[in-house]
Amino acid sequence: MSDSSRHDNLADIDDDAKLMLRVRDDDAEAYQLLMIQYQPRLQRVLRQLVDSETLAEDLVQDVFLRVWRARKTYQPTAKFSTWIFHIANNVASNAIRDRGRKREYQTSSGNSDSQNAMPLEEMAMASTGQIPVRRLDKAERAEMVQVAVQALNHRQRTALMLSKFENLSYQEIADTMGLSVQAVKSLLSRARVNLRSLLQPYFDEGHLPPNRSDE
Amino acid sequence: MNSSRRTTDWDDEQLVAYLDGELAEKERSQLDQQLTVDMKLKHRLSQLQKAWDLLDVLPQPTTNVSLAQSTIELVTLELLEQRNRGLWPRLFRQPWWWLVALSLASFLLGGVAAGLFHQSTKRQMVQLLPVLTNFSELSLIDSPEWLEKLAEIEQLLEAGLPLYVDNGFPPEPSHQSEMEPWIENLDTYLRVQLSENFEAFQSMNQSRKDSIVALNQLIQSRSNSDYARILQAYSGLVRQVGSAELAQLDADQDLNSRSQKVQQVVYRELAIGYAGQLSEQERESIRQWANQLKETHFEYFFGIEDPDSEIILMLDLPMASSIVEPQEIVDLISRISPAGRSLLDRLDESQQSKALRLWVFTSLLGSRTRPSLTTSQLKEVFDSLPVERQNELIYMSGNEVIKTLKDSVSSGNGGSRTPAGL
Repeated sequence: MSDSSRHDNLADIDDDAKLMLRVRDDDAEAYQLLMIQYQPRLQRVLRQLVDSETLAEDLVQDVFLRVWRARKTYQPTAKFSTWIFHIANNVASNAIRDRGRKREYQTSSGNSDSQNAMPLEEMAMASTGQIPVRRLDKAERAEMVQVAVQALNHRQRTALMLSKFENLSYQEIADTMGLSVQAVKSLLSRARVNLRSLLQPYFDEGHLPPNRSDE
Repeated sequence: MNSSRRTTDWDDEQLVAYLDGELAEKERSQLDQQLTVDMKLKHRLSQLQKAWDLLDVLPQPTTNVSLAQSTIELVTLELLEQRNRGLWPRLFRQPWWWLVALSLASFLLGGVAAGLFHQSTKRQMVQLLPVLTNFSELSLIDSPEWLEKLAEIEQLLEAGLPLYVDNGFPPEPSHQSEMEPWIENLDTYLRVQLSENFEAFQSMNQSRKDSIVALNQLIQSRSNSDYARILQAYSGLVRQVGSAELAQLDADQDLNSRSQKVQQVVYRELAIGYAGQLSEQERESIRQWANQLKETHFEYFFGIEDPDSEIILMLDLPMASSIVEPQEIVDLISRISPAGRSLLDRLDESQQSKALRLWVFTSLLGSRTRPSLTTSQLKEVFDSLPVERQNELIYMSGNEVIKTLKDSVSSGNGGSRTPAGL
């Protein structure tokens, strides 16, 4: 069993890791502070990974429970955010595996709660200029981006979210996902190229192919 | 003079790394220069950046109060479960509204006003103070004979002491006159615990009370502190094994049989602890074993996102259902040090497989090194292929896939070049 009293000089540890060290010593206030800080961030990333608001909430809770249960063996060997997002990545991977492995690009309509979901096929056709487009409103724009993100495979989405919203370096993403830095570079490159391909028609004008209800 | 690179010399991976600030200094400088004169390159970069910026339209989440509350409720339920097993954990240093609510409820249920004890109760507590402060440990032992039997168990101290959680009470004063003030000066949670210990002791029959008092005297009367440490170690072990296994031990009246079960638990905990003591050489050897397994059973593992976790799952299955052959298990065991193998030998079969699984888990998922070059290269090549090609390969035999991917590597068609568009 690891010696809980052995840890690095506090000066070298990030603030969140210091909070986690207090949680290790059963400090409830520190646990609450970490929850307040990380719940929205985890929610945002997990929402994109599993494409379901409710499932993402369940997974956020799962992550925090795992943080709690692992508190006694916590060692601040990396940034706290790397550690917690590593847990989140595992939790999301398990959830996705439970839903079945997906090897092809998703052609789902994105958020299952959405009323006017943009099918991927229409976006792909729009990117080739085969169908005309119309101006998007703000909600539709968000929906469009959502669909494009969901079109990426799980690992590309994970790397993208961690890079964009957590500002993790390639090394930190590699540590979080258990990959090499080169693999992360490849993932991010493919993710961003695919995003560019899908979203290109909407860069300036925010145009969208005709809504299916208009037809 | 820096040589100018054409637009096509910069692949998307380099442009993305440039935007992320991850390009090497020299390349970044070259790209900076080229962007001043190369409009096509600048346009490519701009398109990548625009797609990136569009991600900002995704909804910004806010703190979900009810989610935070329900998480805290679940954590509290876990703490309550530990409490019901008589294993109150080290108490929280900061006031916390759930635990405050719990302690208030305890005060009300125990008939004790917040922060105050009835005078006669206090006098009784003073008389029983050494018993009450060690009550959670003493109540685990049903007779002095059992305590003496525990002293014979091999490596109990080594396995149990690291698991022991101090009950939190400060050292008691030696003079009776100092005991009441000592009780008054305890913090809220320790006073609750003392009160609960007192209530629990009072609810026991006389015979059991006498037994506990006798045990405490036995421990106090010894000139060395072995019995105290044995009690602590056993307490740590019990805390670890959980209420179900504890109930099974308590039910066994035969001390020899009970002792054998505890001995198995000790060996099991030592095997679990060994996971943290695996040398880097052992871990590396286990990782090599896992890589060989993946290559031997390539068809099975191909396409699985997390093959290491899959291996760990396989080790949990009965031999008949697992792809891991008995000879491969023998090979795995041979990679463990003699000390580790000695631990395994002392465990029963089901515990052996659990220990092995944990050691493999520690070595694989705790690793920061890359998987074997061969597997890593093949995976990267596969991931770089267009989806349609990936889907074709999935339906080929393992040998055909390996050949196809290796041909791609040797012809230079795999690696970091990204496929164009969709």
